Amino acid sequence: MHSSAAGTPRHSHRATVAAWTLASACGTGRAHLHDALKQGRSGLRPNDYPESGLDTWIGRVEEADTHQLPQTWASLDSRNNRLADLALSLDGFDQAVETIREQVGAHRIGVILGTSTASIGRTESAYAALDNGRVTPRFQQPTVHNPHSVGHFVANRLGLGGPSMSISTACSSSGKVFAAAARWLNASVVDAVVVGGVDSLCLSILHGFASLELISTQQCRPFDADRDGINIGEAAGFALLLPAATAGYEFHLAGSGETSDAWHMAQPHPEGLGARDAMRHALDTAGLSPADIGYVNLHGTATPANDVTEARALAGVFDSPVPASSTKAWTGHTLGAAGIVGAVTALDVLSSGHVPGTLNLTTPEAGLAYPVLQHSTTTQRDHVMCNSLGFGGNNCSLIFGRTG
Amino acid sequence: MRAAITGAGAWAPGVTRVSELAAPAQTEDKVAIPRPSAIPPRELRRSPAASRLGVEVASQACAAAAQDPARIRSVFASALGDSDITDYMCRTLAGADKLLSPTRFHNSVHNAAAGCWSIACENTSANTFVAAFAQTAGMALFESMIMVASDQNPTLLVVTDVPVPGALADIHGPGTTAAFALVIESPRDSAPTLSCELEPMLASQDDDTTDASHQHTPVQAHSDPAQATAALWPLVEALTKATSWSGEFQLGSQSRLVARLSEAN
Repeated sequence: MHSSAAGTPRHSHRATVAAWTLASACGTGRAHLHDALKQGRSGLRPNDYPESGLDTWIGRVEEADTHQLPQTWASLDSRNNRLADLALSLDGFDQAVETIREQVGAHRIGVILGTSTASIGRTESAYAALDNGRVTPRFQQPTVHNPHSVGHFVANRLGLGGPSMSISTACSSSGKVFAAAARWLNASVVDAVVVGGVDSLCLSILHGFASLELISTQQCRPFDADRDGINIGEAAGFALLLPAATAGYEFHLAGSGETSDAWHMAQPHPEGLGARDAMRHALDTAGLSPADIGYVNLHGTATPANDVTEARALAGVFDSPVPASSTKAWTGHTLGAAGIVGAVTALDVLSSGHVPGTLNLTTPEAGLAYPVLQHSTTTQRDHVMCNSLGFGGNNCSLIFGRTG
Repeated sequence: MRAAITGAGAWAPGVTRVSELAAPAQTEDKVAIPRPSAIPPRELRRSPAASRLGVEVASQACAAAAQDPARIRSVFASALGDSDITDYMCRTLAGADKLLSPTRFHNSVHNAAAGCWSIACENTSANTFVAAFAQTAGMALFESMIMVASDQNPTLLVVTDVPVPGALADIHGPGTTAAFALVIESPRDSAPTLSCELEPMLASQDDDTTDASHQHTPVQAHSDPAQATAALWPLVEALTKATSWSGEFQLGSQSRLVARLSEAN
């Protein structure tokens, strides 16, 4: 059990959240996500991704099919960059960045994006269109066919000149971007950081998870006794982070915890020790007790292994259960974007007080170590947590708080 | 930011340890893939070359620094990831049946080498994987320096390149096999000190070769993303020779990390 009392928050883990946005299967913009969560309306649909043919459900952002990049950046075209581009203009996000850029200068704003797919879908297309084994001219895009494609695109699209990198630790990628940005801000090497996560539908992910037999043929059912796998989703989300305690903003990153399972490349630790320690570290860095947390947005992918071990991890942190749910049946599992989807969901809970339950959870697994929230509720507490857990045993837990 | 460099590891054409960097063996053969003793023999065959490279140089650096591989936090980095697996996946998916190997799929995550290292050493500390295309080596050095500055805990930096096969080589060139690792710790008198400052790089300052007071390695020397580790070679070589060194790494479009290595006292 987590015995340490609330202590002093560590400033290297804190940052101000100045703006944020999300495009997911639940729609483009924060309001669509909120409405879908409130109404219990899933964004999932039967798989209609071209060339796939797998019997499953997916979380697709329809606008990414037709959205075009601005002409200036047409050479960076990929589905992933289109998804990023359309999200950047939602909820006034690019304008918020522009305002800060005018204040501090482009070279003082960093970019840290999480992704697992990057633009691999574009590389798949390049291979499908080979001419005598050679890549054709329209796919000669070196800055697209690499893990940093979305970081490169976003820095260019927003006109930012500070350090720019991508974090790719599978499904924890866009949780870890918040922890990294807080370190940069507290080292005073930059005055602002654009963080986020972008992952898009592609054959590698759909057929890769199919090879592991982790794909459900139905809508996913996190923590349900009959759960049988994930639904792949796509999403792009961003947050603009400023130094801790910047005046005039409502929410902040309060703490973060990053750990490794050191167990297996594709299986979580059976007792959930890595996830447990990530949550404990997040609480320690935030100077909070478990009882201060009003809601936990779980990784909750609906694989048999993830959910049972994440419940054990929760039981090792929260002596008295707090509301904790998985929202994967709304958005699908967006992999490298799962962290930002969880973060934006957590911020929605802080701002609205509405706590989503777990969609599609009808019969909780018997003997689950933690009572996962089935139906929606409300909270007035000032802190929420979100977990993202990835292949390679890579875990990240974040805590967001209300300021003031 | 200031930090001590307490250990280094290297693997490159003609190089199997840092002491060979100054005079790499001349060979026409393909670079051998290391067989690090940290990975159990039964796992070696299933471990991708990129993971074996990363674990090898990480083990060398930890041994040199007398750091416990089971405890140290790590930053892994690669500009292109594991191109061999990317090529395999895209070739397979361009075919009719699209049947991927589950092992190769789970090793396709860019943090595969970091995961392999943490599993092999039973290390539950945080690890990360960063990529920044041609700027990957400098960006990973910057990230590691900031981690050390944030809590004074030692950090292991590992940067790898593997050859680029198949059609991917049309895009990125053939690349090479190379990897470097550094153990970075809070400053101390007994070890060489690396000082790094992030400076603006405005358009008019792009070319500092006209400034005689700055004898930095030109930024443009590190522009091949398929050989992104090469940017670290001069730093690791200077460490090996126990000489001072200065250089710079472009980070983003308008900033650069100016780095200076001074010898141990």
